[in-house]
Amino acid sequence: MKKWAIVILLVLAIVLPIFVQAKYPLHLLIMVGVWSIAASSLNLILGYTGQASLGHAAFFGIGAYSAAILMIKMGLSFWVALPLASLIAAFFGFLIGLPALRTRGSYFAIATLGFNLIVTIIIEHWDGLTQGGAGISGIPKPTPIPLPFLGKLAFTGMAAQYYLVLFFLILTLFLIHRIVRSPAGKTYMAIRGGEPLAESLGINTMWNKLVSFTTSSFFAGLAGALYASYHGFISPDTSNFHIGFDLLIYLLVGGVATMSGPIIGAVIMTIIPETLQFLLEYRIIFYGAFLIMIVIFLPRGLVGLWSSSLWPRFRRMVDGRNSP
Amino acid sequence: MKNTGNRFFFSIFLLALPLLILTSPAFGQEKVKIGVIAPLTGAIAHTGKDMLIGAEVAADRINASGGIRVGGKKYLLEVPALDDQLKPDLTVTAVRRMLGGGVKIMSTMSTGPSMAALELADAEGFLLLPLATVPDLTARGVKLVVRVPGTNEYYASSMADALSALQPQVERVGILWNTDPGSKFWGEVFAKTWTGQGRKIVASEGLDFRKVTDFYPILTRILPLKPEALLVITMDEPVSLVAKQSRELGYQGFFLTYEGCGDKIGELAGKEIDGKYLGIKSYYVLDPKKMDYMKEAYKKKASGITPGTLGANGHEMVYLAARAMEKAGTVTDVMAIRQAIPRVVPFPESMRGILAFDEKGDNFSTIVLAGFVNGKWVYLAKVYRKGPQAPKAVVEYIKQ
Repeated sequence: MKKWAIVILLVLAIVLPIFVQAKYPLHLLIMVGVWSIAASSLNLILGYTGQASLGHAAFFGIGAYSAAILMIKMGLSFWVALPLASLIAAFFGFLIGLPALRTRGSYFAIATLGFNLIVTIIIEHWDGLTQGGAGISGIPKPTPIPLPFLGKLAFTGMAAQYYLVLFFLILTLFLIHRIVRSPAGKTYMAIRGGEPLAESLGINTMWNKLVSFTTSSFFAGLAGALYASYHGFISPDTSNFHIGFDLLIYLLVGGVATMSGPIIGAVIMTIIPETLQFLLEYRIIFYGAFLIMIVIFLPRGLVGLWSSSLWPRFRRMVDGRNSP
Repeated sequence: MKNTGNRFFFSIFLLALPLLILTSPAFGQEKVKIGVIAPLTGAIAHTGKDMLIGAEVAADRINASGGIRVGGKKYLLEVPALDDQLKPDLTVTAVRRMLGGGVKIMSTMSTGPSMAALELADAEGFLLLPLATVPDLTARGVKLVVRVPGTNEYYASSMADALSALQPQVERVGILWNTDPGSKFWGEVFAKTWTGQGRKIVASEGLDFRKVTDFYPILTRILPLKPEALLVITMDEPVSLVAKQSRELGYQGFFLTYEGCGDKIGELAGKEIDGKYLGIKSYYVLDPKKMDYMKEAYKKKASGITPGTLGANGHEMVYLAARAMEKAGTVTDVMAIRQAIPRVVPFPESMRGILAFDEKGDNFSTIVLAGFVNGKWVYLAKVYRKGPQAPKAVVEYIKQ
């Protein structure tokens, strides 16, 4: 049942640009894709490993700036810069994880937040590398891919960029799903459940947390690189810590430690502010009230609500049986 | 929410929200629209609102006289606005939304958002009229961009020239600049012009004025170097804090500010800056009729916002676009409108006193150097350059 639902959603996502050709909705969908990848990256370390990183915007920014610098200053193509930028973000994740993961709970959160602030300050002031506060503009789109007998697959149009982000979103979700389902993933969840207990069972918690954090940073860097190429312009705001808090909100709204939670959260929290633009400053009140309601009444996020209330109804409709 | 039925419908409602955006058009298409994308919420909402209200006042004025006449047809102006909270990614979203609603002329505020919007101007075919002073905006070769304010090079060098004329006894200046590229560059240009006159910059320090409120540490570093003037390149509120804290530390010298600092500094730190202040105001402050018109128009909007430099630029932006559409004879051909803009200046309703544009889209305008004396704003001099290659600004004293 779950598999065909995923297939249906996948088909819908693939055919969507046929029905939605206007650039504004396509732009929103592309941004939802990018934020979904970034939120999924945070979900791995926070949702599945139980380590609250508040500095994920740093890896997003490192990925964005690495991609931009590799493409513009070193002349590499997007297809080379993208994985390299993600690896650079992962490298920094590894470096920061080594000292930071020796702390726990709120200390770890503050340590990652501090790292984020340092990254933003370096980006703002290292004019020679990052062009400082002026930002980097003119970041190229992906170069066309030659297809045998079919010509070239170009990425200049909005639909092509949507499919590019969709591809990497599906890839990210697939890889994270595989990780979570693997013995490593179960180890992460054991750590989340209780680190001292996990240690008592012989789990090397430090090493496992480090691998999870590094992997998570890789995907955050991937999202940042995609963002940089799509927008064509990045600035120190790209690594601002508010992005990390936005990703946290996406997880809270959608559902932590679920595969679909980051996507649902990104959809809702990208679209709601746009829908409520007409309220101007009053939309902040609505936004805040909405978040408070989610945290109080839907602690498992929308996915939790869905699975507890909708699914049993649906099954009763389909099977005609009483479901718990 | 104990009732699972209510939770069910609540979740359906939330998940249906995306359809509102995906299926409905963003704006109707009835009048000629000139879009404003600015921070309308958050800590600096008053600046975005100043810009928006200035634009709306201009549009109202033009509409009150029958609108614009293009190709034998009359059009009314409309100023749709979207909030970007000064975040470049939200600016891009706002640009896309405006384009979806048929808006082909837009204005953005500040460096980051303007640079982000610039990436789309030529590709998506809209005319960008940014309210930002960073040189990169017109240096990148984008065709569909015309800057509305001056460049920070123009303002900063003019301020340095004017300071040496108005206060010749001042030799040593300390600079505090906000860590955004525009402010940093402003400080660098001022320093270059100032030292080019054989005078001294005793210190130049950058800090994030959005986050810092305790300036004692930095002031205790700078003040012993005995600056005779402190150039603080940020907005009214942090400048007022710097003024108060430096006076507490015994500083007796002048305060200089850039064009983004408005009249609020007089309310916040009037005592501290009285008699020892030099700031940049828009050209319209010299015309009492224009001042009254702006003040009355803003009051009617009941916004609690007083007209400032951004409002003057917003007003100018709409007039430039409107007059250019009339000159070009089109409301849709943005390239023709862009090419017509240099031909519409100077114009009588100008708030900024723009004299000419160069081929890149930068302008030369008259700025006013103002002091604050006995609790009131006093306009000391008009400053302008005779052309892009003029080595020094012309400083015309204003008779008091």
